Amino acid sequence: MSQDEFPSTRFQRGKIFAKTGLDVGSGVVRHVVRKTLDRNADTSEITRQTAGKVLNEFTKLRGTALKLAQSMSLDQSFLPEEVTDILSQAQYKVPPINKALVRSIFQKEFKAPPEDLFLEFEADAMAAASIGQVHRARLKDGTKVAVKIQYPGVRDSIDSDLALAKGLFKRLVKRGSDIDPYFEEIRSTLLQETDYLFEGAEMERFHSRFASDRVVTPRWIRELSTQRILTMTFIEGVHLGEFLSGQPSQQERNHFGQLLWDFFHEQIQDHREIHADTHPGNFLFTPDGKLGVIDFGCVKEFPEEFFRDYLSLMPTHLSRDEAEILALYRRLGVISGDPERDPKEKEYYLFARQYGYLFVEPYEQERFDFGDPGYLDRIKRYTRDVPFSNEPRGNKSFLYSTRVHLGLYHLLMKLGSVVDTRRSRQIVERLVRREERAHMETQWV
Amino acid sequence: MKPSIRIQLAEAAADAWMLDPSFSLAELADATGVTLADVLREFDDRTALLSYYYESRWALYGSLKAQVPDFESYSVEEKLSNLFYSLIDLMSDRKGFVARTAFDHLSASAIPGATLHPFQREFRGEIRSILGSKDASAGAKAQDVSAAGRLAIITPVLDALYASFLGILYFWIHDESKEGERTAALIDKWIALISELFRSSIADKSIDLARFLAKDVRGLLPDSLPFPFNRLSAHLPESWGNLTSLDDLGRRLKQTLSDCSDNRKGAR
Repeated sequence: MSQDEFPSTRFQRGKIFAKTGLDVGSGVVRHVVRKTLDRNADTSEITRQTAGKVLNEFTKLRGTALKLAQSMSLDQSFLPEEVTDILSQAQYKVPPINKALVRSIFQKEFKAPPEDLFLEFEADAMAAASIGQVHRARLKDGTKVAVKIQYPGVRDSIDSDLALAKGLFKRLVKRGSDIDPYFEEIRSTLLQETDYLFEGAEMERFHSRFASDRVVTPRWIRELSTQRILTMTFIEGVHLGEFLSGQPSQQERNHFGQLLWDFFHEQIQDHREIHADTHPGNFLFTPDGKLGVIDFGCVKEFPEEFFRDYLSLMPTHLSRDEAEILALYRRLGVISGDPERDPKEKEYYLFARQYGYLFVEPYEQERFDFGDPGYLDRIKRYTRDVPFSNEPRGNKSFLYSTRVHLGLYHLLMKLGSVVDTRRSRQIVERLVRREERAHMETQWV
Repeated sequence: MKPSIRIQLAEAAADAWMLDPSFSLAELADATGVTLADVLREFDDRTALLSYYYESRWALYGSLKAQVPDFESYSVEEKLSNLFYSLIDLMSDRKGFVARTAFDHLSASAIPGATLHPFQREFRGEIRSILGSKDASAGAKAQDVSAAGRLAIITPVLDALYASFLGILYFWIHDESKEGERTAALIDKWIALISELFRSSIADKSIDLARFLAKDVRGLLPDSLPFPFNRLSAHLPESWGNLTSLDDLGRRLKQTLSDCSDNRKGAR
């Protein structure tokens, strides 16, 4: 009997679930060994053999490992692009939830099967979520909804996965690096992401803040949601990949790019918080030209002092104020010593400063072309050529916010959008003045 | 007596047992609106009534299964998952009772030669039905169980599956995770594995190999070669070429290994 006569396995059947395998070939290993070498040290931190083994373990952890790498900003410099591409495509590490398990989860959460709760419920998932999957359904009143269901046991596995990952990372990062704060941050983030009640509440909050004629966010259906099942109104639209495959015009690219850029900056106008997951899967481009924002499992609030310092990066880099730049880098944990006395710190400072100048280029011009391949190359080169790439640098808030900021840039570069940055620059400058005023007032009190 | 009354009695008996294992059948009958004579007509004694609690899960499972929309479109894996989840769910209301009595009533049946508990009989029947069913799910061309996988619906395999269910039951009893999430994940992963085994051609290839060894390798390789097939094939009867099932293969392999072991002991 030939293979063709047999239906595919559960993983092959689910087209919504990306290939999760990754072969750690010699090229990947060589890359990791090279990146973990401290150029000023006599010996390498990690041998070729160890790198191969560690990477294999790394790929098994997938989502957890990637989030950790991202939290320490080690992913883009440290890991080869093909590794991060596959890790970011691979769903967390949960398998598809089959129809019987879906029913069992509903039975546990609501003491009722889905057909008793909804007018219609599609038993086959329409999309994968990071730790579960999404089904289409209709409420009894006919409202179209999306129902996100979490794979059982994910929350309980977080601590054990992190313990494994910690052992892994200790072998990869520079000896003596304090990685505990990053792990605590990721633990808190992962726990938050497994609480769909939290996500639902955040969804409602963002809806009241952002729903407009430009941005659409789902409404939370509280009565049909639990910690593991999230029901929300359905937003019609396409993700980035599907949008691009439709060969959109430059005008359409600019339109949605502008919406993304504005959404990011408007978030921080009145609150020190952001929707902190710029994964393309969290945004939809709707048929009526709006930006759909979904997935509110990762909303980050930043400390006041950090927020002020981070905002100040833009004007200080635009004005090339080196003294203030250095002071900011120290406060943000980017630099720890004195660049004038320590050649290593100097090297990192110069690198970070040049990267910073590159980063604020979009704010220097009234309209910036994210489709410029030269800009993309320069960004890639900087992220690839980070010195001392096995040392996490920058406090956890800084790493989080730069990750989000860079994620936004990547989205816009993929879109190839030309965006008007004037308003966003005004927002940031106004915020910096306001924060400075507030800070001075507290100093005088 | 109506099936629903029998189930009601069994569940009330389980509750009564938890309060007092020597509960009165007369009081139980009263509480459920039947006479003692009615109860004794259906059940020999308290033990039989308590044992029926487990058997009655099958009637309830049947009702649940009938309520699943489009159940016939489920794949074999989904049907097996549904079976395991449903049986556990149907015991969840009386987890304490199950924890303390399940293995007294259900485990003995795993011993070869013992009289099967009706629960195990039903389990075998349902597994046979699931594995023998055609996969009507979208995209499937024919059945999604391999040819030998179908032949594997034999007693040793069924008993192994039953033992795995008891293992999962034991895990669930001790599972302290919220709403038994860990059990749900365990069932999912276990069913995924055994479904793959049934889908794969491992069983087909095993029978092929055994036939080949019996017919085509016998006597061709000298014993001195450190190659397992020559030794094995020497003990395989020619009739192995007539293997028709895994059951056959299993029995004959067991005998062969036993013969090999005896010969080694003799040689010493």
